[in-house]
Amino acid sequence: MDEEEVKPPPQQEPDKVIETPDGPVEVFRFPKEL
Amino acid sequence: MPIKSFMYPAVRVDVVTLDPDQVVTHSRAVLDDVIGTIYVQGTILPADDRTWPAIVNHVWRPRLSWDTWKTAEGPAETTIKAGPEGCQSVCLSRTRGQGRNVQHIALDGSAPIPAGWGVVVAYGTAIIGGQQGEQGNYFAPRDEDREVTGSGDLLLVR
Repeated sequence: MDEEEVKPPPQQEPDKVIETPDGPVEVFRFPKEL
Repeated sequence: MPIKSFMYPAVRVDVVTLDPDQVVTHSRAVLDDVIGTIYVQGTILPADDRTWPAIVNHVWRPRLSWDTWKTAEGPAETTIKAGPEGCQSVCLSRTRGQGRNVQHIALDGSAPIPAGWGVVVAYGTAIIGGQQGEQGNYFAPRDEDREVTGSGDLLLVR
């Protein structure tokens, strides 16, 4: 029986990076749903 | 270390990774939208003298138990400190004012996903329908039951 091909997770870049006192926050506004 | 904030329509997923001994302050306004949190690595400590419930990694902490350390009025903010090895947590927050039901699955092998539930990968790796997901990824709900394989912490959202 053939093994099921598995798609890797999507590679996504943040839409913006916000600098905060606690460090940078990478914001993904519309990340891809699986 | 950066905070990763994934803003899905159904739920917001924040992956918070703190360096060793890093101190952060969360405002009440942010906490008010929190559905719950799961700690997945390291330890976290209170940074003040407030009573702090024991935090166990890989246990979903809904908002109700998160409230237990608050004063009657509720604090304007709370400050926490990572342990000597740092820590990582995944926090779910409501979007558009909508609360969500959340169920935690400690995945080790396979598990059923009932129809109508979305799946957040909080830790580890999950495969559903031939698609692999990792930390921060969200599998949208489907009309049919599904099976998930892999290992880690999954948060079912409805």
